[in-house]
Amino acid sequence: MTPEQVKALQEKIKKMSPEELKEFQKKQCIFCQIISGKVASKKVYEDEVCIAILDINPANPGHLLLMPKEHYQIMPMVPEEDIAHLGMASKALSQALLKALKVEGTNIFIANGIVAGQRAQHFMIHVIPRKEGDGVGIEIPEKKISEAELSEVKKAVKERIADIFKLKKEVVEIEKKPEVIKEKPEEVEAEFEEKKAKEEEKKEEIKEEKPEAAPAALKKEAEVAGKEKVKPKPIKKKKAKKKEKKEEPEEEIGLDEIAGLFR
Amino acid sequence: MAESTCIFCQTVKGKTKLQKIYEDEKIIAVLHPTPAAKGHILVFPKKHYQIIEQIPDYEIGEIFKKINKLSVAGFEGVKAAGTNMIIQNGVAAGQKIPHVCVNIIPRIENDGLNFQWQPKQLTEEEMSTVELKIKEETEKIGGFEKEEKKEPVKIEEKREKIKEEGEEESYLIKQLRRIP
Repeated sequence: MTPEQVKALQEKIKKMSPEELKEFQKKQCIFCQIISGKVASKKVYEDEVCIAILDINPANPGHLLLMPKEHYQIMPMVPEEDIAHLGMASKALSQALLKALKVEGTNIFIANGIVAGQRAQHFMIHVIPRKEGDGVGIEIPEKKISEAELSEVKKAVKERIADIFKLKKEVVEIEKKPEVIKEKPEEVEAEFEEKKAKEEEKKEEIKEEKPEAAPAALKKEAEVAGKEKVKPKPIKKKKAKKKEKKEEPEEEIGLDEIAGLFR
Repeated sequence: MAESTCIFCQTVKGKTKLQKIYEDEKIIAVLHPTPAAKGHILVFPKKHYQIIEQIPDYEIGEIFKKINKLSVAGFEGVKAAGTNMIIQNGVAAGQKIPHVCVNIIPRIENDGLNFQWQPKQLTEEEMSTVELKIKEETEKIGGFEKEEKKEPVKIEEKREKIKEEGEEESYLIKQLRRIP
């Protein structure tokens, strides 16, 4: 493409509505074309939410790509219920690989963003069969870090967690308060004691609320999400119940053998 | 490795110095003490599962929902440009602690990490053989157990228990009566 063409394209993309943009991305996405059957692939699993195909450039034979049928660029864009579904599917696929290929383990690998090694614009989960000494470079190095740096990271990440999981913000504020008090040692002791006592009370109140607050909030979210999708759900459940019974003879896989390798 | 020596099980009991950043009834998230990158988070179920195949479907679903949110927290907390999520399932896959755990690694440009692999060249025939083998197994995958089944209470067992307790009580009472 010439620089003018690139510019024209960029401006075209800028003017698009979110819906148009999504359509545009879908058209450009090779995996969306694989999902719709326009491009050939070796499909090994499919259900109403996701499909799994063989990677044509596998880290090992049997390297699977599991992806939602809907086009999402990165994991945080995928709806929560679909994320849960993908989790269950990746477990089932991992189990299938252990059994079918007689491998000794699997890696479940997700890359979000180009710096993380994501190449396609379609979110996917890699399920990679592994054998001892196969040379697949998914090793996680360990680096030393100072206590100070670690607690700095802890503070920053915890603040984000409080926001994202909708934990009560007061928890964060109260944790900060003692520092303020330390800076003012001139304060009358009685007043200080009083404040401290009040804070203790508050802390206790929050301690009681905190563990329940998060899951309750999440449950509410899940309920709301559930209500929106009321129609397809009953069908899924019926299917699930029927097939559960067939799935029972799980133990013959020798999972214990794989787990036993630790001993 | 028994649960008593498992570092994650010990963390559940609050007996390690791992920096806890999130906890609910099913999972715990801690900061990796020797991280691959700033903000490296370990997420593990409280229950001692060695490999993911041992985890019930509904619990895997919950774990994935949580790691999705925690990865966003890690990503924003350290102002990263991307994230990797890695599960090492089995010793051959690099798993060191026999307790299922998800690595969330925030990534930035030139952080020295590289989780890439050299693609293996397979012939068309080899690919087809692998495809067939896997399909044989994936055909068996059917509906997931999305909700935790509550164990049915066995009425007979309960009755027996009550009987036993009842007998014991009456026995004690009898004994009391015998005392002059």
